[in-house]
Amino acid sequence: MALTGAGVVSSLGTDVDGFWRRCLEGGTVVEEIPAAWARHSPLRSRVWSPLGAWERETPLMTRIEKKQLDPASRIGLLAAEEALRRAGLTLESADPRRNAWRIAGVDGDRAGVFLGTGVGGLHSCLESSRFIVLDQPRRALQELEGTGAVLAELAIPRAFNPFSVAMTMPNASAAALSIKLGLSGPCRTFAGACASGTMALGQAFRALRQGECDLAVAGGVEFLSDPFGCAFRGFDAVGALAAGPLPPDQLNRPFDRERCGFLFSEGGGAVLVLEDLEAARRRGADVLAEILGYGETADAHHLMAMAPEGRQIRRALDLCLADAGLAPADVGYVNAHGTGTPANDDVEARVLSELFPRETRVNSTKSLLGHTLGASGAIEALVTALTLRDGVAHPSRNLSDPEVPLAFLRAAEPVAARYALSESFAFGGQNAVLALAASR
Amino acid sequence: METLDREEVAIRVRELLAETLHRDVGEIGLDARLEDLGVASIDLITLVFELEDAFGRTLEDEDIAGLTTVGSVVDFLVAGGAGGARD
Repeated sequence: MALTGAGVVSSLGTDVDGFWRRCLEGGTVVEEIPAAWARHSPLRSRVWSPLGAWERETPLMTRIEKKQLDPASRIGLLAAEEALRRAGLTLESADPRRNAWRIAGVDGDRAGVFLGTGVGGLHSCLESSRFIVLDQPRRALQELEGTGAVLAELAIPRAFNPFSVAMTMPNASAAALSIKLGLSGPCRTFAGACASGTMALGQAFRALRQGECDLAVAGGVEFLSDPFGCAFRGFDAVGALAAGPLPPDQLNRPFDRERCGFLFSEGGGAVLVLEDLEAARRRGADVLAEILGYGETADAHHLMAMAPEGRQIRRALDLCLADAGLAPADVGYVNAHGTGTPANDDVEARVLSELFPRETRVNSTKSLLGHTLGASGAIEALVTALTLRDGVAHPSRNLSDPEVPLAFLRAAEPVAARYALSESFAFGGQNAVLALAASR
Repeated sequence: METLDREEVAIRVRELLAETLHRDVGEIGLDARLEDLGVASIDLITLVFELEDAFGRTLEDEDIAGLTTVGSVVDFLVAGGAGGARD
């Protein structure tokens, strides 16, 4: 199956070209967390990777429609718009009364959506919750003198958003793509925490291969910010986030001996267009890369801890390689899950070192972006495709003393790989691996 | 409570209706019935949310039940004044 277009929203750019350029530079965005997060919680970690100004105007969303979509859904629509354009597909108005669109020349009944997300519309849920809990106290505080600062700190929404359910439900982002783009084939949401994006792409690949649809818009989206840092505190409370005495931009160091947790990202997303290779060629589309295989397993071990022997990670890799018809020696590059947590990187690196030849190149895109949870697998699949297309890979940032001697990329280097893997392992124990090939 | 100019309110209401229904403002006459403009139940929720935002008011269910034409929306807002526009 061919990948013919991609779009991205990330802290390193909101278009594929700019994003990829920043990746090859080894760029990162690390800032101190918002002051309110630290005021309201006893936190170990004090850094995150904010998205910056990621929104842009698009005919797909009016001002009113934006207010009815969680940021994760808006990220998905922006990434999809770019992906379709880069795939050489044109959007045309289908129903101006609904601001509904369709892809010119594509049978909507044969086109599907496959989208991953870790937390769905958590942001919207928290907004609604904050209004309900704090609206009455607000009225009381407004009656008192000198409460302005407290009221400002509470950041209480003006009103209860009546669309809160439709904004919170995990399938909202996939549904928004289906509705806006007129995609009336399968519309599926994959909630596999940090593996969601990889699962979505893998299952889209399978649906295409099984003839369930002819075109898939697939990827992952996530938005993890709120005025009080609720998601941040949850990860911080279990010691998963990068923290310690190192300078802020050196805390995030996957596979390094001094790694100390992952860099919390505000989120982001990537959406890719998948279609049959021959059909893509017939319509003259540029093929970014091909998806050859997919493997998926579950640890059946623990909600937050990776099984220490890595048996199910190995099995997911074996299943993926078998599905793609590849041997380990065929794989020239692995885009690792590589979060930077001490236990996970150890298990992953050991499994990789046991399975692949010494020369297989490895990097971690999370060393640049931090962890975008449900979006990460899709962003990393995009990076894998770009690496195969351009024959060059980005550095694994802050990797000065690898614990396991894999052929890590320490700088942007040429990688002459014909085949590559992108792997994701989730809270909950889900393991997902995609095999990609360079376009022939 | 701030006094509202009827003409200004009418312009804003027609703009919000046009935006909600993806129509041109010119199609939204003051005499038009909301039902005839195609204001379905979800559109009405959107419209009320937008009116509340624009005019800083809270519309109760009994207020909403009385809104039958574009003009009736304008009259309601003018009669009640603004609670502090937040556009």
